[in-house]
Amino acid sequence: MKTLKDIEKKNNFKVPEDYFDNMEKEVIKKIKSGELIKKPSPFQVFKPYLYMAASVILLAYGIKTVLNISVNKKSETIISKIEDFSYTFDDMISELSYDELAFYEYLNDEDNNYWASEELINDDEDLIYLEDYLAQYYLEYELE
Amino acid sequence: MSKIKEEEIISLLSKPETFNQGFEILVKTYSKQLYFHIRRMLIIHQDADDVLQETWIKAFTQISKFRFESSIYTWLYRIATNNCLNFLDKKKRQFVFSALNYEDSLVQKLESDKYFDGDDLQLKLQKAVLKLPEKQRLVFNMKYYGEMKYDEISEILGTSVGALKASYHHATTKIEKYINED
Repeated sequence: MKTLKDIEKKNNFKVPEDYFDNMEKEVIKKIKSGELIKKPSPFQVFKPYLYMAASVILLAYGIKTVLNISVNKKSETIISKIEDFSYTFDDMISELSYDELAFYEYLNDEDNNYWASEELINDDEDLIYLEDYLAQYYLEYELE
Repeated sequence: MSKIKEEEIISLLSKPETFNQGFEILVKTYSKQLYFHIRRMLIIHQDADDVLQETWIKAFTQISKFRFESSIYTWLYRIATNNCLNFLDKKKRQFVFSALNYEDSLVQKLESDKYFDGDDLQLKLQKAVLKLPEKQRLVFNMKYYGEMKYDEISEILGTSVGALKASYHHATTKIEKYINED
């Protein structure tokens, strides 16, 4: 078995002829002339500014997204509350405003527990208010 | 380098009027040693030449910050070693998507390199060294070819002497195993 001791230790790497001759003068000359100093590329010069611009854009986008999320959450809550209330009112108009006859039929329909419930229409005063409202609605509709 | 010569260089470098003269002596004294230290890591002459030039630029621009707490010799070796490792990192990144890794490409180049004149056994030894992990290769080259003391290597690489000895032992074991294969 061969070991490292069995192999002659020598430098097999060669250099071009005269490579080390006057290297010190050449290095100094090149450093002084700026030849050895790499000039930064335009990208390297503008890199910090590009990063800064990208950071500002990201920050602005981040803030906008965060604000949108919180605003949306608030408006969703408000809308859901309004929807709870406005469902009956809007549906009343859309479902019952075909004509007056349909409206009265609907109101007189005993199976319609929803409208018959005392919570919504429990006396004549409410009924009159509803009729007035529908009359006003029709008037506006016709004027359009 | 003798202590007297290093003190002479430091004295020349410390005065603006003799700085250039001091730097020229520094380049003249250390270029050969540094070149072969770099060349053994990078294999290709042109790459070693580029990294050596970079080493001198860095030395030139940073010598005012050098506090002479360590020897200039150690400081220059540290710059050259860091430049070598940065160069290897860059090269390896270029080979990330290649079927061949960077070290294998170096082996291929070595076989046809006009600036390498070793016989088959020497070539096999170089191939074995190229198979070592980067840091182990560095330690092996500095100890075996550079014939540096562990204390010096320790100061340059910032690694404990114990770790260096272990690293060198692993490296020689792997190399001898590779040489005896086939």
